Amino acid sequence: MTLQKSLLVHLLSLFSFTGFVALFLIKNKVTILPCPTSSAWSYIIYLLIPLLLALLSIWLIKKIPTDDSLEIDGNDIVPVEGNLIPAYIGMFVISLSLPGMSIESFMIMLLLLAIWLNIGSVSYFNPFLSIIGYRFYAVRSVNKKSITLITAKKDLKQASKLENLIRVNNYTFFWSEK
Amino acid sequence: MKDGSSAIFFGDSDSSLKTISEMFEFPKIEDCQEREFQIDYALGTDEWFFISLNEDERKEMIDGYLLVASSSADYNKVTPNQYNELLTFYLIREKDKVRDVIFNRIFDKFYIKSKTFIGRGISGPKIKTETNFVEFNHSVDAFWDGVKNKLYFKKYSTIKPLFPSIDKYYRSATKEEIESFLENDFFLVSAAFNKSKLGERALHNIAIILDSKEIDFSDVDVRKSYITYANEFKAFDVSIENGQFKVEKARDLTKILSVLQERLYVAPITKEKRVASSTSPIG
Repeated sequence: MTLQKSLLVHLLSLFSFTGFVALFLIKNKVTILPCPTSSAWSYIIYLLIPLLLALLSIWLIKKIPTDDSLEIDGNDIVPVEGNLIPAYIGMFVISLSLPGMSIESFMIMLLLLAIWLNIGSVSYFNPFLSIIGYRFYAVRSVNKKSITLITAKKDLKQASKLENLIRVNNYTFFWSEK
Repeated sequence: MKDGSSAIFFGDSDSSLKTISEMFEFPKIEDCQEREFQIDYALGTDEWFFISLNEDERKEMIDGYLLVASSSADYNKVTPNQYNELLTFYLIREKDKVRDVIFNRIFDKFYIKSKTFIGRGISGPKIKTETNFVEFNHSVDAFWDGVKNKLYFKKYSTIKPLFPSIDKYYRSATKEEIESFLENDFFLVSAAFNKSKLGERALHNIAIILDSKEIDFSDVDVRKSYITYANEFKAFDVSIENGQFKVEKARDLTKILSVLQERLYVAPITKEKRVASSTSPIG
């Protein structure tokens, strides 16, 4: 992986991590707007940021060349949000249980971020992509290897070959139907 | 890779792929340049050996390489810590749904852990150290022609690790066979003789001699006839002592194998003494 690609993958993981930060800030009633009555607006901004960054992620992913293809083994395509979201929720729970704004919280958040960035080099998941309409599928190839496919196509059940895939990492690919 | 797996170096849109394609070119082999594989034939500079593969052989030897083109998502990108694990660099070309492949063998010596160069800098000579890189000499060591279903190559020993099942086209004597062959008292083997120095060709010739079972090494008359035959070609310099062939170096054994395979001959018209590069019968 080139340095540029590696930075991009880390950036994508960083964007997906902003959800935890948003929740942590809301839980600790941290506001960014000066007027105390407008705390609700601060929270809306916190929630909007991960969504906007999810849109930016898609824009960045689409900048990666469409070099790859995949032959699918007998339509073996399974949605995986059900498997991935619990792991993500686990991280949310940690965010919510962190003690207020303190050095400890900051350190734990940094540690979570480091783990998240590291996981991001092999497995990429951003639940905010699901909110903006993208789906995650586990697809099995003719070589009996499984990859995660991110696509805007809903209810993908049948495909024998996918062309023009974008490689996010070695196990995650993005596909847009042309 | 040395472990039999494949990984992707350059994707279709990678700018380096264009540069590579310009250097690492698919050969155009005319019918007159190809020759069915025969180990003891010395190829001309523009000639290529070929072996024709049936469907099963193609599946076994070539399809593993072609899968990358049809389902690249199954393969990882090469990482820098794998550079010393590379066995071959190959390039696939697809035309009318037929795929051709060219292979460049990467020998262990091509991997360079660290090398320092003195080059020109802006303000004079400059020292530069490069680490973890692989020399790419862009020679085509093997070429799979998907239309003709033929695998072309120049040197068998170079491509053998790339196609493990190619063995059936060219059997080499095993370690045990070499041991038992040299244990024969027709040979006087020096203690300093290093069997591991024997080349592919010598190993193959030993296998041919053993498989043919034409030479009865225990027959005194047979032994005498080979010694007499070798003595007729003194200039070939086969070392003989007390009716035994003396083996001190790999080169000695190569010469003895030529005698055992009756490669030495006198040209019938010019009467020149020669060594045949092939033992294939013509009739």
